[in-house]
Amino acid sequence: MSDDPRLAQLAEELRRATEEICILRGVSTRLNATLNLERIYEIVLHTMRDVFGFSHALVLLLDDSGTSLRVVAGGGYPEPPLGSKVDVGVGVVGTVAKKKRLMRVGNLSQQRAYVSAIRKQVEESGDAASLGPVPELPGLPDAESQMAIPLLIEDRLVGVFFVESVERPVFTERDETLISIVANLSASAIHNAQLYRREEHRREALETAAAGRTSEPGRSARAAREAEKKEGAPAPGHDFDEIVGSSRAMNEVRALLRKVVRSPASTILITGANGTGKDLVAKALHYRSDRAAAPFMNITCSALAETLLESELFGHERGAFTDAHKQRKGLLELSDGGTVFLDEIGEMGPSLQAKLLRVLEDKSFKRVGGAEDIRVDVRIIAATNRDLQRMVREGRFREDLYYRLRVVPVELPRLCDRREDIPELMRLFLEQFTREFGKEIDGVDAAALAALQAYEWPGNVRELRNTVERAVVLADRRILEVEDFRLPCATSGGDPLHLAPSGIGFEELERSLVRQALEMADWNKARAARLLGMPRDWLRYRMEKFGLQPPEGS
Amino acid sequence: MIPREIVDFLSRASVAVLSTRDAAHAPHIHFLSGWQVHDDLESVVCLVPASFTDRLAEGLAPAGRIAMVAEVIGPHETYQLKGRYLEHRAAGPADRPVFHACLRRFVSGVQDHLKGRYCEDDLAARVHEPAVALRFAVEEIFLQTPGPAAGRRVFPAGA
Amino acid sequence: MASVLPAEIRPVLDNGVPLVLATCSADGEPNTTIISQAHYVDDEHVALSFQFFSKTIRNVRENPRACLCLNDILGRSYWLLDLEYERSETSGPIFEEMDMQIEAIASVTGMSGIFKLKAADIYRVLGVRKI
Repeated sequence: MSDDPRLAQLAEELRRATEEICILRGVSTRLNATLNLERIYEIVLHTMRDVFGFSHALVLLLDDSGTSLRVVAGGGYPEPPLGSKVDVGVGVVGTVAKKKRLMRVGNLSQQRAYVSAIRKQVEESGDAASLGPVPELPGLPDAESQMAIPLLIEDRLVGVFFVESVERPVFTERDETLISIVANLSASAIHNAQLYRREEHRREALETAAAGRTSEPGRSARAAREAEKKEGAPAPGHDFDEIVGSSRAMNEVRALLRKVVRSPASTILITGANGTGKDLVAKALHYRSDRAAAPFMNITCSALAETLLESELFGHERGAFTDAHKQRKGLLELSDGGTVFLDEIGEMGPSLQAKLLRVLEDKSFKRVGGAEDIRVDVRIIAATNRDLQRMVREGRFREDLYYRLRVVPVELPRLCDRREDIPELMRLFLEQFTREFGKEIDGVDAAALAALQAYEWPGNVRELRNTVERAVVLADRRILEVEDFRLPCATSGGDPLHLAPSGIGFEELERSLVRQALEMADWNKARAARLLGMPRDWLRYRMEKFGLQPPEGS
Repeated sequence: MIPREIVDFLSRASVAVLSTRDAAHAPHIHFLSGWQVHDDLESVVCLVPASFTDRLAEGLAPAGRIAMVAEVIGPHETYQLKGRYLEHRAAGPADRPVFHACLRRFVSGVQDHLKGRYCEDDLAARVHEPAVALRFAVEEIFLQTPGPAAGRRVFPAGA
Repeated sequence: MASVLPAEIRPVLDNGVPLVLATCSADGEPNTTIISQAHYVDDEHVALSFQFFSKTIRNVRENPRACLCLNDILGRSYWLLDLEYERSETSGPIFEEMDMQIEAIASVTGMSGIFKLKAADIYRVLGVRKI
């Protein structure tokens, strides 16, 4: 064998890479085999400490408010700081949570000393009021190296892994790569386990309600309605009022819903872009139907892996798979007499499509791992933003299932196709959020309303709702203006602005645009003129016309 | 006259560096083995090791402008002294006490600050034997401790 | 004299020992600062954080030449880098990475808003000498 050192180095690299692949495979297998959160934490901590050799490790999850993380597991500490909180944006963990990027720090003692010297200078200069408190954070007080990795699902933060050591930087770029892979695997596992646990709790509540229903029908109907009030179930007895909009398109939607709500048709397919209110329509249909007293169950087909989705829908028998310690009823069984809403039906895989078809045709199914046929009386409402017809042509969706689902098709228009509804929707959300946040906001000015109507709303009603919520939260005046809404300035091509059917106060719009350009350019006329694509003379003319003067001191 | 507190600071500083610049205005760095305020209290004598005398002549030749920065490692207390080159000579036995005092301060400063990360021998090896004793007249002194006040002139006062 | 950063210098850039940065104004006045760390950008560039030392940035904008000295204690060497200021970045990956670190440290010392990164100053390495 050659003594070439390069060959020896290559051989060592290969050995190391093979070892790392085996480690990752082992981690992946163990994480896949469980839906138990505590078990997942154990696997993660073991991997961080015993495999990668970090002396101390913590797992933190984002809490429901989204503003802080909580320690849910720890290893290497004499007493792991379970339950300790870290605010987003504070410290290494909080900064990683805020930026959603991995971070390594070394020489912490030196950095702390550096910053402490600055702090002392500020205190001695008499400006101590500008200093903030020193937060108490979980972890080693004398850590020399730290690394934190965000756990992300589709760019949404789930939590953070954190490792630290009292030694000098021991984390290499290779460690970063490996730990990132483990973080990605773990994020999915944690997310699935959290969903599973949430569904478990919901199912237990419904099982209790269902058990009560057989002996005391009236009481359990009330119990079912109470349980689902948290889901935002609309109050019965109204004429689809919660589906807001007086445009022709929405009037047609409501007219269709009135026809189908009491029809014996078992399946409805709701189509429409994201954020058009498909789930709202599904709930409205259920709570105005004869099935209102029975449960409404919904599931997003893209949120769970296929095997998990199958178990959720059909339930499973004891021993059907690892962690199946007891028999469990699925959503179909639990919502017997009611409605199951399958959102993002286009994401359902082929084998589940076949099973769903059987439910629609025979009204029966088998639990996972079961032999017995179970019959149910369930209305299926499905929804999708995909072009299912095209998916059928491409062989990605079953044609027979498509036609079976599409017995009653309901298509929801995009918000940009019913711009005349925007003022009504905007008022609804404004009222809702001013009440919720206790703000005193009387309305929006004409220019803002015009801008809202002109904007494309790629995220549809959901985006409008979020935009109004943000404007209310951040507002510091009683009449909201264009800048309060922080609308993106990009347009989708074609006309940069769309005239609403009700028209626009042109001068008001022009004045608003000129003022915005001047403010954006710090009242530099040349820059403001460039923003508006006009000569400086034109801008000067409009400044005089509208009486726009820079504030004092600018 | 160099303020009393700066004289005191220099007797506590654990590391000091000179910078000069050549005719093309390219700056040069010269780590110091030692430093001491001259008896005239208006100039400072700097001990430059042979390893850092390369480019010293070309750095002093154009205008003799000098910037010396000194720091107490740990609290990061730092001052920059600016002035004009006066004279130089070969370092000699009389400079040894200054050299040893500065070396001890450097070693203990780093050991305290970096928590014994480095052994004494390695640290001592970083302060080279002095070869040249250079004196410069101090014309201005600036606070250089990192923070919002960094850059404030402390001598002469009233800037 | 090499003009590319050798691999052995990378751990020295963040070994925790303060570095020295010398600049010179257009009228020939040298200026020296002690800084806490330098960031490796690529084999020909380093980035220094601009937080407090405004004289330094004023100097390099007039006269881009600078000199950086690193103290490699374990290697028993000094490294002298002749630099040329290229630009200051207030956004982008280099700035973001440096800013993230500073933000994290500032937040645990009650210094958010005071200890912050104003810019990442990018310097090209013209020459490297080991003493």
